[in-house]
Amino acid sequence: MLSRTADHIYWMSRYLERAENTVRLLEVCYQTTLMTNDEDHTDYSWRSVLTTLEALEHYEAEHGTVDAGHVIEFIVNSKNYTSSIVSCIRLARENARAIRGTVTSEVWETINFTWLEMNRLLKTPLLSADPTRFFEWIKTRSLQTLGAQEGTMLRNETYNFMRLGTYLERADNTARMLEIRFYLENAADDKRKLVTQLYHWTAVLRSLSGLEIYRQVFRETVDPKRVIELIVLHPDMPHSLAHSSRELERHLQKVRNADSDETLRLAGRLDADLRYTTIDEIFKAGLHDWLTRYLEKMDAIGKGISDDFLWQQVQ
Amino acid sequence: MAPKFYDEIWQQEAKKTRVPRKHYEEYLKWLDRQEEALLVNKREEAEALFQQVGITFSVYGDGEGTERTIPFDIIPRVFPSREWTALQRGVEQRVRALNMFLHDVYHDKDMIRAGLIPADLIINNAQYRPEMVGLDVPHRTYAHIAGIDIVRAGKGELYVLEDNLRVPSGVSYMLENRKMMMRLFPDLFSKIKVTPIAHYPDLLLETLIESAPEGVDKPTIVVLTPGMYNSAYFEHTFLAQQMGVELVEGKDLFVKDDYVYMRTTQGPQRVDVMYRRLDDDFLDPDVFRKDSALGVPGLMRVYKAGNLTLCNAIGTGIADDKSVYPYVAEMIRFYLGEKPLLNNVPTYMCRNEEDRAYVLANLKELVVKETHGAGGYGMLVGPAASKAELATFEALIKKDPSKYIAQPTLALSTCQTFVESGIAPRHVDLRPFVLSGKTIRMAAGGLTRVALKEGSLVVNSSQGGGTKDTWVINRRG
Repeated sequence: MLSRTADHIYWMSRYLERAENTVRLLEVCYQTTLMTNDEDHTDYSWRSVLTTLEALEHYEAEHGTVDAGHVIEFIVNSKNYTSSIVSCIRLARENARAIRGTVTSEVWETINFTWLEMNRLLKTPLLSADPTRFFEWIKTRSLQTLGAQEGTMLRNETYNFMRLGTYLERADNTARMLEIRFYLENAADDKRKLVTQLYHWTAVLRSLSGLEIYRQVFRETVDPKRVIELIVLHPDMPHSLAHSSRELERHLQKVRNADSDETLRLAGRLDADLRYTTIDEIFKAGLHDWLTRYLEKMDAIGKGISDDFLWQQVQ
Repeated sequence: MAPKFYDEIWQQEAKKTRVPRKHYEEYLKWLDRQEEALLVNKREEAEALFQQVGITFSVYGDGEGTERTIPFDIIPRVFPSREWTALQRGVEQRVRALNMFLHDVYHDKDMIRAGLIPADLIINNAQYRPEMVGLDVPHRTYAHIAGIDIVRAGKGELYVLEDNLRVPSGVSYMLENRKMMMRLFPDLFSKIKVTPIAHYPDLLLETLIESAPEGVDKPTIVVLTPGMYNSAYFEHTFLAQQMGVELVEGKDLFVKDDYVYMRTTQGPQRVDVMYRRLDDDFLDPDVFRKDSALGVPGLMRVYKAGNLTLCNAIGTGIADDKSVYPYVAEMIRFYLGEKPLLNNVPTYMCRNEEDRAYVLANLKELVVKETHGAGGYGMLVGPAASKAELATFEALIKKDPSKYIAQPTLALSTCQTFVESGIAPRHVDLRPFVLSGKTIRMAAGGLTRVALKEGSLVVNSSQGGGTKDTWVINRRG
């Protein structure tokens, strides 16, 4: 496969995955802030979303004050913010168009239709009138695209590079989700603190399609440690770090070439780490520090994939 | 009063009742039973489907990369198989002669030496590539893919309007239009047996495979595109996908030791046959345009070493130049010893004094074209031109006469077309595609273009033209 083609496929998948995870995040924050009248709280949550998306500075430069309407409009619709939903879908579609002959027509048409229809929807008042419906729509379209890929693509290099893009992006997005703060933690007493924590972790689970999985796996009330265990270490939860790392290693094995040994080693080691680490070890190291190191390792693997396989502008 | 133009559907008949031509009878019976509202729906559906499937072309000079669809008309252009067979033989004959002419002008120049075509018309032509002199190409085939533009005029005779031997486009629309018609009106195809054309990509692939450099057993074939902002990008991806070959850009390729390679995820891979959709000028910045970022430095070296087949070959423009066009009939007689089966349009060459005088005196009746022009640009349609436009062309011709030719304004045939105001006649042409490798191959069809503006004779999509599905049918009985 052409290196340039692999590059387009990989980025197509990354942008699609990013769009889906971003609307999940928006949706959960929107729902959470509906449950409170506390302005400080609302402000805090949306700020946290902007921070997680590395968009706070950019947003403040454009809008100044933080409020739900503007944040949603900005994250969905901003032409300048390169990770806005509109930008992600546009870039995904542009990458898909460049290699439309390499993916099946079902995959291309699903992505193209999402782009055409999204532009139409954004000309209607839907986003301000009923943001949840818009978020749901984007999420459904993303799942349909994944379905079209699973259902129609030959399991070849194209497919492998698609999944490399998906899981690298997902691992990154999930790790960042674990750092988000939906609630102020200055609750007066322990009891309220507990309730707040419960709501927070429930929201995180929901944003990763994990609440139902949590109930199935643990059959108990939401407990922060258990939530983190599920999201970080459970190999069969589609949005967990363990699952993403395992899939990343698996697809990397399939496309290996003469240059990729070092990248494979990094991916294999990260996979092994997640297989054999316990949640207590992670807590002992400190979740934040552990996640920071995880993101660094992911970065190195992403760079490795770029260097070993993807399009490099040759001088 | 007799109708002004030959109509593809209706015979020129007595005053009151219209009589359809035999090969349209079945279709018209079907059409009569369709509600107009349904047809409107189907037209909208077609537009939505083209958008969704992404059968679009990029608009030149628009930084936004705007994409548009080419208007698709739901009323087909029908040929009876007998007429089609004659037409096919005619265009095949023509392409055979053109390929022999190309070999000749880059080798012994027999036709020039026989005094049948002026030497300076060839040698001093910007389309003549001295780099090709003495270079041998597999099977002596230069124009592997040719698009021959055919019009019907007068009482129904077919004329060749021009030969396109460089990078003719439109074949994807031929194929997609058929797919669209079958999707919109499946019942129609169960009633009328239309000769299939869907195997065109297979014919193209066979042509490319047998054109491989000698000694290459299983050639690696690629389609070379200028990139996704080219107006024909959809067609490039479509053909590569249908043939199952890589679609490459210049930056995916590099030359090493007289071979050309593409950069892949598994390292460099050698390329043997390149179906290039990029003009000569941009192919190799070392030899042609230095500022071309679309080509591959060193490509010409590989080509000269015989390690790569370019389809089409470099330098085919000398055979489809409008100043060479008047000599095609002579080529057929000279190289094949045959009588030309298709008519040429009478052509006045402004480089000849006598012709020039005639052209300048009759500008209002003529169509003037630039010899190197294409796509309906740089063209004057005398009867439709304003006084200022006529004056401009008069000055242009006087200034650089050899740059222009002129032809009588043909009364192009019309075909019923479903336009905003209902069903009305519009002028049409036809571009069948001829594939040449070791042998000649054709699918029974072509791209019918239609000028959607009432009275307009310009069918180019860049000038408001649309397309129709083209049928070849076996008439019963």
